[in-house]
Parts: sequence; C-alpha cells; structure tokens
Amino acid sequence: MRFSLLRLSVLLALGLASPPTSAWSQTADASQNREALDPVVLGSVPTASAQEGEEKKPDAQDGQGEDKPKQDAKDGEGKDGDKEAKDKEAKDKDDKEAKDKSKKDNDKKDKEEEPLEPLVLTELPGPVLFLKGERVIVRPGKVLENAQVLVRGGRIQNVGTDLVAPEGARVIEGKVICAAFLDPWSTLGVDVQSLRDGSGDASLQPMDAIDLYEPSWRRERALRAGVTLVESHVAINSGFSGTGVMLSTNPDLHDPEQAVVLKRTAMWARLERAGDVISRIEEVDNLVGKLKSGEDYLQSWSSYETKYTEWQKEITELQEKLEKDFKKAQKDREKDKEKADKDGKEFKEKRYKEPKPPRKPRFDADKEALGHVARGEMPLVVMATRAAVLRNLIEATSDFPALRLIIAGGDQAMHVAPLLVARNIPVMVWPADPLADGEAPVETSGTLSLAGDLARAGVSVLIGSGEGGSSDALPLYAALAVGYGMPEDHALAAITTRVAQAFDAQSEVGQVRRGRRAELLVMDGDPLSVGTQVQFVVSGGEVVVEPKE
Amino acid sequence: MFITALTLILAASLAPAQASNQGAYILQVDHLHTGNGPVLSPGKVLVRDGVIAEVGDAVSAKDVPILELHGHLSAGMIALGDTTILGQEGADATRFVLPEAESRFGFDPHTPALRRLCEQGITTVVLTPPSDALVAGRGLVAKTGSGRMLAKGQAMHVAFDAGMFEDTPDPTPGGMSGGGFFQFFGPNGSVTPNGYKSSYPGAARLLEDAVQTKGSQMSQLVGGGIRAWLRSDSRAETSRALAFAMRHKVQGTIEAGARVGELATQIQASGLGVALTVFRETNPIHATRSAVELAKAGVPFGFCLEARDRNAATLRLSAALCRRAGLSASNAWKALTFGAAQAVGLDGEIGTIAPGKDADFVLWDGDPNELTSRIERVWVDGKQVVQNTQTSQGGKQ
Repeated sequence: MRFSLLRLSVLLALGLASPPTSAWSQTADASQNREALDPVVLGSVPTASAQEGEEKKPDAQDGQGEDKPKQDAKDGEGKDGDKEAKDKEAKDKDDKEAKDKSKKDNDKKDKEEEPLEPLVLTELPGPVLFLKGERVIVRPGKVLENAQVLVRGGRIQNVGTDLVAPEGARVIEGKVICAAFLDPWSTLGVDVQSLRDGSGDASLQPMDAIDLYEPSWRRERALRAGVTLVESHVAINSGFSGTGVMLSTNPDLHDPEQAVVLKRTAMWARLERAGDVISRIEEVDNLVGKLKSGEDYLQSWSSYETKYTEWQKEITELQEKLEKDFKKAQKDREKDKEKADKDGKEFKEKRYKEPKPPRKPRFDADKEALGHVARGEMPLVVMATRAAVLRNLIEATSDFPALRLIIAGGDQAMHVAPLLVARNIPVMVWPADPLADGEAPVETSGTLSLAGDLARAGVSVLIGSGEGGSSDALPLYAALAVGYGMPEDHALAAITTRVAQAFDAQSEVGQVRRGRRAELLVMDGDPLSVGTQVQFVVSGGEVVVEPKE
Repeated sequence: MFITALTLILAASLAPAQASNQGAYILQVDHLHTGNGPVLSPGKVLVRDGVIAEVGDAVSAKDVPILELHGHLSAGMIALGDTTILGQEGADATRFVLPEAESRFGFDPHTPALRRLCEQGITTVVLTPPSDALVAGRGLVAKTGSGRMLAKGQAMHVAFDAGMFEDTPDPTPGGMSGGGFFQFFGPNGSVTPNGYKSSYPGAARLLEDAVQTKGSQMSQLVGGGIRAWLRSDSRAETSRALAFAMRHKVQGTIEAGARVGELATQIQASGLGVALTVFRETNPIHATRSAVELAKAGVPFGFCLEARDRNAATLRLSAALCRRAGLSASNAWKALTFGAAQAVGLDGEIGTIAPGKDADFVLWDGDPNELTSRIERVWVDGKQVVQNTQTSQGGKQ
C-alpha cells in the first residue's frame, strides 16, 4: 500500500497523474492492487521514476519482498504481522474491485479516448528527439496527419500536430511514424539450453538464463526490422515454464538489468507433452489442480495471517490484563500462600495458560506464483493446439473467474472459437517452423490463416514468432495474416497494442502516446507493406538504428 | 424447350466456325500484371483450351463470354524443390545411384497437399525426391490444380550435399545404417567393394563413373541431353556442383542456399538456373543477399518450397525477406514466377501472362507483391480451381 501510494505521489509530483478516466491513473490503480507483482521495471531508460531514485528505491525493495511477510512469520516474531495481514486483507478486497474494474475496462478499452493533459519532463537526461511524420500512427486505427512526436528522457513527452522543435533537439523526418513492434513470443536473448529445458516449474524466472553475449545478429536483425522488444521465457518444454520477461533487442545492451524492461510478463505453461489422449486429459487436470493448490496456498496464508493477528491481539490483551492486575495478583498470591502455610497445606502456584500461535503454512514458491496467476494478477499463457485439449482447458478453468488465460499456438482453435470469444481469451498465433520435422497435428498447423480465421470469428489475436519463426519477420507475419483475412488494424495491434495489453504494459509501450517509453519507428511506408524500409529505430529514447547509406 | 432447341440448331449450324471457341473466355480485370512486361489497367486476357490466346487492353473475340472481375490478375506462382509431397514414395533407401527411378510413378495427383498449394496461388510445383541417394532419378513438375505433370520437367536429381550421406544404406547383414565406411551399391546395381561414397571425393568419383558410362541414363546429362537438378547446400558444395556442371556442360538447376550469390557470375556463364533456399541456413541474411547478387548477374532463380505444404506462404515470405535485403519488387516477383520457370527450363510454358502459355492465373485483391493482398481466385490450365468466398469482405481500409 505504502509502495503504491508513494508511486502515485511520484506520478502526481511529476504531473503525470490525471483524472480517474485516464490510463495513467488506471496504472496507478493497477499497481495498487498488485503491489507485489508490479512488473514494470524501467530498465535502462532514464525515466521519471529513475529520477526519483531515492524515493523509488525503498519502494522497489518492498515490491520485491513478496515473501517478506512469510519470512517474518517464519522467524516467529511476527511483529509486522498485524500490519501485513491488514495490508493483505485490504489487498484482497482491492483485488476483487480490480477484477470488476478490469472487466469494465476491457469492455470499453477500444472506444475510450483518453484526454491529453500536459506532461512536464523538462529536466530529464537523455537526448531530445523531435520526430516529424506525414502520418503518425498513434495506435492501430488512429492516425494523425502531419504530426510531431517529442521525445525526451527516454519517454514520449508530447504528440501533436502543432508542436515546435525545442532548441538543440535532433529533428528526424519521415513518412510514417508508429510504435515499435512487440514480439509476444520469442526465443531471443536466452541461453539455448535453458530455453529447451523440460524441468521448469511455476516459480522459474528467466533472469539468470538471459544471455546477451550470444551472437548478436539475431537481435540486431529484429531491431532493424522494428521489433525493439520481445517476450522471452525459458524451459519451454516443461509443464510450467515459469514467468517470462520482456527484453530489448538492442544488441549493444549486454547487462540483463538494462536489457530487461519488464521483469514479469506472464506465466507460461505447455500442454500436449504427452502422446496419448488419456494423458492429455490428465495434463489439463494437473494444470487446473496446480492452479487450485496455488489459490488455496494464498488463501491459507491470508487465513494464517488473520489468525496470527487475532492471536497477537489476544496475547497483547492478556499481557495488558496481567500487567494491570499484577499488584492485585501479587497480593492474592501472597494471601493464598499465607493461607496455605497456615493450613499446613502445600502452596500451589496458579497455572498461567497462554493461547497457542496458529500453525504457519509451509513456504512454497511454485504455489505462490500459481496463486497469483489464479487470482489474475498476471496472465497464464498456455501452449496447446488440439481442439479437444483447448475445450477441456477452457471448461476446466471456468472455476477461476479471475484467471487471465491466453492460448499460444491454438492450431485447432477455430473449433472452440465461440468459447474463446465468450471467455475473452486471446490466441497467440505463430508461423510454424518451415523446416520442422514430424507430423503436424492438423493441416492448418502453423499457417497464419489461423490468425485471419480467428480474427473474423471475433477472437482477439496476437502474433508472435514462436518457437519456429524469427522475430525479425514479425511484421511480415502480420502482413501475411492480413492476406488471410485479418483486418489490417487488428494485425498491427497483434504486434503492438494487444501485446502490451496482454502483458499489462499498455501504459508503457505499444502506442505513440505521451508518457510511454520512446519505442518508435520512422518508416518510408505502411508498417505492413513488404517494400517498406525502417529508416530510424528509437528504443529507450535513443536512436539505435540509422538509415543505411 | 423452344429456346434450347433453337440454341442447339444455332450451335449445330455454327459448329465448324465456333469449334475453337468452345471453352474459350475472356477475363477482364482492373489490373493485369503480365509478369515480364507492363501492368495493363484494365487488361484482358483471352483463354482458349487452357492456353492464353491473346493479352491486351482491347482483346475481343466473337461469341466468347467475358468475365469481368475486380482486382489484380497475375500469373500463378511456381514453387521449386518441394521434398514433402512425394514423401516416401520418392525415396529409395536401397540404392545409392538410381538414375532409372522416375518420381512420376510414385506421384499421387489427388494428394490434398497440391490443393493447399493451389489455394496459396502456387499453380506449378517442382517435386524433388527426398533423396538420401547420390543419384535419385528423375523428379517431376506438376500443376497443383489438376495434378497434371509437365513432360519437360523431369530433371535428373544429383546430390552434392552432405544429406546424401545421412541415411546411406548398409547392405552388410546386421550392419548399421546411417553412413560410415561400409559397402554400397554402385552404378547399375553393382556392388562396389569399398565405402568411399561416404566422402565427397568418393561420391564425386562414383558420379564421374556414372556419367562416363556410355549409353547410360547418366551419360545423357553431358551436353544437356536431359536436364539436371544439382542439389547443394553450403558454398563449397555449390562450387562442386557448378564445377561438375561446367565440366560436362550440364544444363539444369542448382539447388543452393546461403552464399550462392558469390558464384553468381560463374553460374550466369554456365547457363544454369538457381533454386534458392532461404530458410535452411540459420542466418537467412546470406541467402537473401544472394538473391540480390543473382538478380544483378542476370541468373534466373526461384525459391524452394522449404516449408511443408501446409505452410506454402513461406514462398512469398522468402521473397519478402529478399526484398528487405535489397531485391527490387519486380525481381522478387520474377523469382516467384518467370524466374523460377526459367530456372527449370519451363519459361516457354509458364511464368508470365503471354500468348501461348498455360492459363495459370491468380486474382488478388491488391498488389501481388504485398503479403497483405488476398488471393481470391486461382485458375490452372484455364480452369478456375479456387474461389475464396471470405475474401470479399475485407479488413482493408
């Protein structure tokens, strides 16, 4: 709570916070509800929050300390228990509200027009860029003609049609300016051995697997193609692969702390590892069972904390009472003792009974992570292709109303399209490995025609390079999807705004809007046109790709 | 009834004059991409008996129905080097040199895989045996819409890549398969006593033997008696294949990836065509740059369909990646159509919209060069074989 309020106050101080309808305050709300999981780590960019480093630091520590209350409790002291439990209660309550709210937000997400209020970021370090475009694609479907974008301190400071270049700014002119592409499903930047691992679990985090010293040409090609950020995770052959990160493709970044801009994107899971039908049913049961155990685990902690508080209260009251009655009790004891002596009886001390502390649940990192997923605090991306498995999964997870399910792969997803629409489950479509061996489960496997079909059926589609494609071809995949009947705006959104939204980063990336990270492209044509050359790439507020001469 | 009778009478009386117009029609479209020539807007094409009779902006013929369509009409695309459609039918795991093999005997013209290629606008596909052999016999070229095989397309498949060593059979009882120094069957079914075929020089030696055996199938490769398909992968293999072709004046196609562009001028001099593999190399940048160099040197080339049939769109993806490397739009389109036809010696039959060529067309809702353009209809040999119903309601603005 303290964290989020402070965060909000930082935003307020910078003039970033705005009336409750805007995305910024929503972000603040979201972080309130999810303080422990607040995923946005503003990597290498000198940002507003970085500027407020002194204030931010203790917060960040709090944020990381998700298991801190447990540690305290473990020590048995539990002095903070009271406060923590209250926070937890409040959090639970907030969670519920958040769910309702996010549902509403989802409903109106496309229609809502956010007011543009002034943004003051004058004193921030980093280059000042002034981009002028004949067309600025603010987001798919919203285009400003002859508009300008001002970038300062790693952020988009302003977007408009009548902006004037500040003195000393680098002016870049181009035909089309749009937000850089985001690959929601990539294999870039992580150690190959860890990537293919099959022994992962829910609590796995890829930070230690990040390898930015691998041959840099893959990342560089992605960057040149306009894909500045990719989602990578490891242990892709495991039932649960743990959480993913979003990292920059800038090949000059070698420090994971700098390259990773979002430390938690989603939990990844994989079904259909088993070869036969019965085992595949069992896999879904296992997944659901694990979610349930995670939910119960968090429940057991919160009930433990409630009980612990009650116990502490009881103890304190008892202690107070004992202290208050001490003199009287002493007198009584002396009296009793005298009496016993007189009667020649043996003096018996009054037994003092203290209530026992409640039993502490055992710490389990996997269950904890799963619990957060079950509560919808981060999405769960499940890789599955068969219609029967998808149906089973969707039906079996209906007991978790807060769960934010995303299907990855989904070759036969068209058979369950109505279910996907009803439950608002997006599908991440990928091109199959052109050289892949082995039988594909279905004919349509791995073609982007799936993207077109799902989009027409009303399913929200994301496009990723997946395990077989490559990130640098991402805009080409989106273009192909249009060729298969996907609306052009949806296809562009499938590699920009919808990706940001899926990973709770919509307030950070995916659009050309003030306050967002400056991840921008300057191109000589339409973003999805084959002949278009990406001339300039701005990532983290710096020009990282210049036109080839 | 009366009208029918009248029509019959009319038809009977006009029969001699109209015979050639039976099954004839004119397609009129907003934009007609001839391929090797201009884009006609609008354009008309007269099709007679599955063959293009006339192309222009003012084509007309008596009593020939005109079909007016909106969109862009282009020639059908040509996929080179598909190894999956023939599948195991094209493989012979027992003989290392088998020039007598003919893939057409193992070809199923009704395989749904062809249909799927057709839906992607690929009207002609070159099928190569998925061979582990040094000489895998004759491949074939087929029309995707009908399964019709083109007689001229049966090239002799010769391997120069390491793939042929992978599953070479071991005929010794209880022996291991998978290469190694064992004995193999030699040319003409004879058993060669040692295992020198699992090395490049050994394979080359065997190949020279085969080519120089007078009167054999292989000897017809010399001087271009029959066309060859020379399969290579790495730069060194491509060099060997090229050297072989120049030594024996072989005509045909080199299947090559990665850095074939470095050999562009020599290949141009040899008169060979190139079937380019873009995705085989881990880093496709070499292959895409090669496309630019081949185009510059004037070498005819097309793209291999490296994907399985279900992923036919990778053909266009190959072209798109090459454009990023600097290949011009017209050269990229050429590689998908006319260049590919040239590379396999079928430029007289297919690849452009020109009189005398097969009536293989694709109707797009936009520029055929764009991946975002949708395929609405496909004709093969004058017959409409694909009509996508969903495409009319568009997502395009």
